[in-house]
Amino acid sequence: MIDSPLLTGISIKARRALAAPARQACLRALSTQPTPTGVADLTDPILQPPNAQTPQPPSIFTANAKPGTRRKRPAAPDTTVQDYHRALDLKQQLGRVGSRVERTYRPADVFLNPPGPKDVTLELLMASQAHMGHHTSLWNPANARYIYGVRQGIHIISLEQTAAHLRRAARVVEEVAYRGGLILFVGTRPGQTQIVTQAARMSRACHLFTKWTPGSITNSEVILNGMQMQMLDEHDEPIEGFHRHLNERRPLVPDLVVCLNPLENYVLLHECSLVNVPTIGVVDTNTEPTWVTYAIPANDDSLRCLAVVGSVLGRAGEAGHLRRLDDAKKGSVAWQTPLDVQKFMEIERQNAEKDAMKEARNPGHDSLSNDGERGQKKAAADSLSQEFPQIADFNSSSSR
Amino acid sequence: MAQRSVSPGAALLRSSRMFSMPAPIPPPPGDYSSATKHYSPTATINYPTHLSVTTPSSSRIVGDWGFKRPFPLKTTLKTTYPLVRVRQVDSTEHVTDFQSSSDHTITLQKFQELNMPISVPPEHADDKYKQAQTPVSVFEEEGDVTAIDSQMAVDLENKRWKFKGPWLAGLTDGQFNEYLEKTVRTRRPEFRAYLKGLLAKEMTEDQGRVAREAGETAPAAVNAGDVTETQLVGYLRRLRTDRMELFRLVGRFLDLAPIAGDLKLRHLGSLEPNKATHLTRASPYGATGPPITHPSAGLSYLRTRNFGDNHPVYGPQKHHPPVKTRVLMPRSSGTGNFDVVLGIAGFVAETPYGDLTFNIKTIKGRNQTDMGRALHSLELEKYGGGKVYGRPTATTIDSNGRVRINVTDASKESETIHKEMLGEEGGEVYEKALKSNEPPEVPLNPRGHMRQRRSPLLQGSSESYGWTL
Repeated sequence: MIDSPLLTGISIKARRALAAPARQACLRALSTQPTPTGVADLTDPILQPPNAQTPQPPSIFTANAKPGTRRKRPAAPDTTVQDYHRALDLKQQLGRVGSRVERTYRPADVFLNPPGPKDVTLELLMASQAHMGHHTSLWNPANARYIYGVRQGIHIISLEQTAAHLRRAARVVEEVAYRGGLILFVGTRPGQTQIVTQAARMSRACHLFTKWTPGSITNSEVILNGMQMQMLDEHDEPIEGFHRHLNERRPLVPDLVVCLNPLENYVLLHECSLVNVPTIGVVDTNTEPTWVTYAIPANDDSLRCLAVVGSVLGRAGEAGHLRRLDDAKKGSVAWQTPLDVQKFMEIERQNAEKDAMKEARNPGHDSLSNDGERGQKKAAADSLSQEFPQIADFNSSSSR
Repeated sequence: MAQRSVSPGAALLRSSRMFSMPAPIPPPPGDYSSATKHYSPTATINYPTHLSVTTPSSSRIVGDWGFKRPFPLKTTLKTTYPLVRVRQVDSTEHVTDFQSSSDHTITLQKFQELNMPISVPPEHADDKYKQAQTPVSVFEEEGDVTAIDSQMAVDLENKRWKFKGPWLAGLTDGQFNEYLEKTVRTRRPEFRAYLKGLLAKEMTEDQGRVAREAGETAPAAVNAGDVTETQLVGYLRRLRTDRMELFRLVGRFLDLAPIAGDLKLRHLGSLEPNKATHLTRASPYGATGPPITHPSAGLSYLRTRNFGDNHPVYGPQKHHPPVKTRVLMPRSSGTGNFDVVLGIAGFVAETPYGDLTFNIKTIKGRNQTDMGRALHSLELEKYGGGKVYGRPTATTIDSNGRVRINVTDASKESETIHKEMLGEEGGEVYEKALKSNEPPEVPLNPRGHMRQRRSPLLQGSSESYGWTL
């Protein structure tokens, strides 16, 4: 009985049969101990190299051959569990050793995770270059109260002033959003598109990143004629039955305008001041701060700074909007139906009463549905975005 | 000193990176003779004047360099080295004035790769060779002293580099007159008192010497107040005949930077007999003026270059790896350029006199070797021009802020080894040695194929215990 090829006294026939698996042959070649061949090798005087392929005899001759048993390996103890626990121990001991490289700043963070009014710190403002004003010879002396000093030829805007004014502006945006106001974010310089669209998306406001068509507020009957509008209730659900009013009413005017570059949008800010629309503007040291109602002294050239300002105001608008919806669910509404809508509803109610009286006299006719009976209603505007882009951004928001 | 308390925003601003940018230093004055020379306003100046600024690539693709406004992407993205120097954060034209600063920054990097210490310049122009052979670091304690008292100022006057007064040889006429009017004239009585003190000391020594020779006790020391006006005038007359001594005293009084003392033999005749005259070595900064910064200029803080390089095959090397130098102007008697001009690590090199390959002017070696061709002809067909290997020996920085690197011949062995390391042509030593060990493709003995061919490399390994198949 052949137990193992390493046993002595193997016949040459059995040896050849066992040499067939190439794996074992290689193992033998690599082992440092020469394989004892025994006396039986005397019949085979040609010493073959151990890794030479022995030609396989035809299978009919090996039919009677005993199948080769699997070579028994020394039974190594299975240490998988111990190894696993040792690795865990090592990891616990050494896992915290070494330096950890952290990415503290990524340029896209301001869009992926926009900071809100609570996140406004001096460090954030300084890192986003909010303190860098213009060349000292370009300054507007009205901004002297915002300026901390001069460095490298430019005016340095006080970070405390920037933070305080930014927080105040965020509060304004939040309250306007809470009272259902229509907010417009304007940034018409190249690169500001993403900033204003993101701010408008967060606060359910409108945005403008192309040229402001002059007269869109003061001459809106002509310029925005035929734009679609929509009535919404306090839960921002559309209301039916105001088509006659919507066809006749004047186009909407924003209730708050946030302008990232006041210098290029003087016409817009002037129109807002003519119709008493409050404005928020980023005022650099060369800008006239009286153009806007609420100035934010900051660097208006750095997109990084404007992204921070825009996302803070957008977050503020978002907070106000959510607060308004929550309070509406509880039954408290902080705004009133606009006067023209109230008057329209009054007329509608009178007409309905007249119709009811007629109906009482001549029963059998259909009665009109009365929308005015539904309590507080809210007018809202929705316009088609294809025709006038700047008005197109007056999107899904509510009127005064 | 207690720091003034400032607002949190101000404290934050003061620790910001923009505020920590150093103010630009004045540019080098330029060559006064440039009116008659070709002068390029865009040429790289001797030393950088502005901080070099860079930004990570994630911020660079949006143009954010940390300044007032995003930089234009067209110029800042298509550059090999994202390095700028900002000359104006904002200008009246509403633009940030910046330009690439890769010239100075990469030159500094290349210089630091040379591992060169900065050494003291030679005292005379004739000592260039000696200075290149045995350079002395500018960080040696005896020369690198700035906190000194009056006695040390005298002792180290020919070694130190910092002086309160100007370097007279470098002043223009107007500057010199202004210096005389404003600083020197007002100190006349002070100087006379200084001389009286010196004369009193000298008279005391003379009295003591006479008394000692006569075998008497020394009389009381002469005070400066005892010196009469007549004696002082006599002393002044004596000094006027001795220019070296007079400049030495004036220089000590005003702490002037030293001037190259050209001690010639003819001055020996005017020396007064029986008077001790100190002949000291000239200051290294006398010939070209003291440096405008520390003599190392912050380029290198190494003290020496004496460390050994190791080669993975050949072991420790005697020389550092040679450096490729660019032939900026080949030697050509036709253009009047009798010495070859080399550039090393971005600087124009100084080739010392002596028996160097660079200085061989015979016709014989001109077209024989690659080096000869590179040194004698403008090789336009080569990428980047002709280049030869050189060995930098010493580096000094002159009073204009120029970096002067001495370059001599590279040793042939180190050049070959370096070429082999880089895989360049002409450095196939090890390959050749291996090939010589192999049998030739056409066997010398056609019947020798019966013999076992042995590979020189496969001699068995530690695992096979000498078993070869």
